[in-house]
Amino acid sequence: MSSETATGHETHSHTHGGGHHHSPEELKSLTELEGLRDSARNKAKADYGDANIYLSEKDFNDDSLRPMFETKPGYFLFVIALASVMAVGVAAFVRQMVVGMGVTGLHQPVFWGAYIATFVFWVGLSHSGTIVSSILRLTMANWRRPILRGAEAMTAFSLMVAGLFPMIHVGRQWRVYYMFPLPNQRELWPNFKSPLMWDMMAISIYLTGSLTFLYIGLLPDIATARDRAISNGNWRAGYLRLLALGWRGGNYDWAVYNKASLFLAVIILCIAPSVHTIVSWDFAMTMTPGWHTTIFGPYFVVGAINSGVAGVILLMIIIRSIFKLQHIIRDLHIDCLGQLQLVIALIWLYFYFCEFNVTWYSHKPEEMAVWDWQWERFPLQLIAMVGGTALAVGLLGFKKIRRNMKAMVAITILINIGMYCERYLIVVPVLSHRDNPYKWTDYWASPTELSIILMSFCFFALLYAVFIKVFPIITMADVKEGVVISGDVRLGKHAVRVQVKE
Amino acid sequence: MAKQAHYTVLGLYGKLEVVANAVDPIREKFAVKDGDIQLLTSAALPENAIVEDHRPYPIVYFVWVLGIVGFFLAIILAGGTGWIMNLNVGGKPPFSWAPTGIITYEFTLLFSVIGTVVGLLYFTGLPDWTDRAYDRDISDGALGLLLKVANVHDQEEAAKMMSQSGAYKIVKGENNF
Repeated sequence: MSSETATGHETHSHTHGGGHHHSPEELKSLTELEGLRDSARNKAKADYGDANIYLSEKDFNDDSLRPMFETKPGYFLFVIALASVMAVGVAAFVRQMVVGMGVTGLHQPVFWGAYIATFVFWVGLSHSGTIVSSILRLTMANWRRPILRGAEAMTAFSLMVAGLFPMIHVGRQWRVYYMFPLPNQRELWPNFKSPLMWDMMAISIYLTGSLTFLYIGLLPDIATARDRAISNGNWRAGYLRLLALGWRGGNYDWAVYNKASLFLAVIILCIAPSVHTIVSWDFAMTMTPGWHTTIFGPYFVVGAINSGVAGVILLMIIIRSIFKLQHIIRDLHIDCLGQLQLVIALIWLYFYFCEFNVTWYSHKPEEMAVWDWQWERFPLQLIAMVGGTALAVGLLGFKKIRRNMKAMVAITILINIGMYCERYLIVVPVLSHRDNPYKWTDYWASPTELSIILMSFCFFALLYAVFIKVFPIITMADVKEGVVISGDVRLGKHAVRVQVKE
Repeated sequence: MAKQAHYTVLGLYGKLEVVANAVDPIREKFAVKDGDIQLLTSAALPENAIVEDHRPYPIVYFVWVLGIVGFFLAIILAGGTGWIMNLNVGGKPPFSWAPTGIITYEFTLLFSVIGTVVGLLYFTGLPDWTDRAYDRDISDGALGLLLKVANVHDQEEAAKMMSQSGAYKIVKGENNF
């Protein structure tokens, strides 16, 4: 290949982008926005429209790739801190393997405890990422663009963390391969009639699908990062070149890619709810009072999305403030996510009300015994569960709150504390108060369990922190697509952002 | 099958309107068929907005075929396991529709995902790590008009046309479309 002519890159960087990025002068002639230009520009920066069309593509790439290519000492301290806490959890797990499950607080009849509650919590958290991403892609919601990657990564990593817990919980981990459809020494294959087996299959498949969804979404951005890494002689060039698969963004490639992304979004949207429904069936398929209810499937799914959306909001706020990406993940995006959270929180409250009201009004003794036990032994957790989401509903109706990042952090943490309590209240009170009264007991998670649970949170944070350093965290191609199809037009006295849709 | 010898010209443009005006004269001049001219961009443009390409990409067939494979594989796995290695639990039938249905649903979707990815790779020709015509300016927003021609003469002509139509950089190559 030979290069013939080349104009200066400086000129290019100001004019390239196929008219994607209009300078104020161009806007003036292009859309006759004389007199409104400045106000439109300021408004676009603040809260108006999805894409900031005033940022050149090169600047946008620089900003979006900065979290990946620039590493400050604080990052390493953070990773070391996470790894140190994880080491404690790993030591606790090794002790549990060596000594046995007796080091946990699990005992007759409470054989499902904090591990299972945490497992359900992580599976729940994983839900919002791909569901929200798929729904927003399919409905062509333009505000989705910068947040997709962060949401999809959250799904993949929380599923990875969730997958650890059944293995930690069952004990005798060296026999975990009994769960896989491989012939073993007993010449038995897994019992597919067990809901636990459905669970294993569903989560494995969801993880595979989510990782695929994440990777396919990453493909054009990996190519952009590859180009940047090659230009800068960065060590990441090697794996980025490999993972980019030779992507160069031809018009036919984009057409195929968009169609494939559409299919993946639809398929993932079918997989995700099935996974948490199946998790709920781990409980609901038993004849245990408090669990055996038809509403559990959708109730679990809505609860999962409730905690998941809160998780996405929290992560987005953290990412944008640490990496100074407020001009890409803007207040508008957090606002829109806040509105979504409001709707989901209302639906979750409705489901909880339905479950509560039916049980309370029918007053079946065995069901009421579980409720009474919950109120008697776990009042704080119950208040946190309902109060966290109810408070969110009360506050998220206000735009000022949705655009106040500190308030949003507090609200989303409260929601997730509440949702963790919900999972705990589903698992523990039911088991500690089942069957004959002589078996009724209390359960408290042991230091071993608490260490391992803490490890799971650090593991998730570590996965996320590493991901940010090896892949672009902003969905760059999607944002650029939004810019390409955006423009301002004059409507009366105002400049209005419009976007072309096919 | 060995690739036919060819020459390429990649013209980099800065503006969408400019490259849009450049495409049709070049296509007419060299009688370019679909696929032999491409617009390389860092973001998707509306389909056929600049360079028209009417080649089909029926990924849906891959999705369906692999989905059906997953469907039957799951029935064999979940249903067949119960049938061949029966665990008699409370006199329940060895082949149970509900669990088989659940596993079948999940497997069908898993294989549909695989089918989608296979379709994507098949139609885009990825992975391809060879040194194909490309310029790193494209990821920073340049618009690359890539043309495949049969001989050096046409390559020179095309490069000249691109330059005259507003390309700020021309990259010529051989057998690297």
